[in-house]
Amino acid sequence: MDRKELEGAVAPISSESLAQNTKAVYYIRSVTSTIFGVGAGILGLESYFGFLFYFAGTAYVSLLMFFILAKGKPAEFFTSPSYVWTGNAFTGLTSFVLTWTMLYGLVDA
Amino acid sequence: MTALSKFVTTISLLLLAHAGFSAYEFSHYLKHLTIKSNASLPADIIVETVVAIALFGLGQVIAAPTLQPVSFAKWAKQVEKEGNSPFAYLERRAGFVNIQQIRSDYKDSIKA
Repeated sequence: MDRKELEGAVAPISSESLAQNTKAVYYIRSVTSTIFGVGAGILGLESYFGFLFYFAGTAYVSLLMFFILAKGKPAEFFTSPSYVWTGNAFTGLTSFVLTWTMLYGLVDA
Repeated sequence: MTALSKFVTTISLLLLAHAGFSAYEFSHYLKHLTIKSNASLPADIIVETVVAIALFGLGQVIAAPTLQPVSFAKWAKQVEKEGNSPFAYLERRAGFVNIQQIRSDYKDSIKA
């Protein structure tokens, strides 16, 4: 047995709570990225600035998740502690572009 | 979803809708009432949008269900305290059944 298997045998992981935590992060990422797109459209951002806006917003939400959702201890709730920062960071990108372009067009009278 | 998160989310969506309407009005005036057509968005609309988004993110993070500990030991302890242990069936095996208790309960139920 390699190291990882041994760790799993000594300190087993609850797959049920892992799935529940991952789902919570996924939901927050998808909903917030849609609203980030609305914001980027209202601000009339173009090209790279829109994507920068997305990543700034994602970083902000990651910060909130780290301190409020995971109470500063992501290792206790995820198998990889970086999941709070990088997990599902790109899943919202498509819905972001959708609402971004839609609001950009709507706001332009 | 708690009352606080609902409140924060509602406020943020109202702010966002107002900012969107203001941005629309601004571009409308720019096109029909002025000659200067390359003016940037007023600062108050930008601030309103950014505040709305920040509040929305906060509201969603507050609304999320509390995370469960990923360590099986911690999770099982917590679940058992709540009364729905994944190992409850082990305590209902034949060897663990208190026959005398069940018999006296049965007698009482007949008498009643």
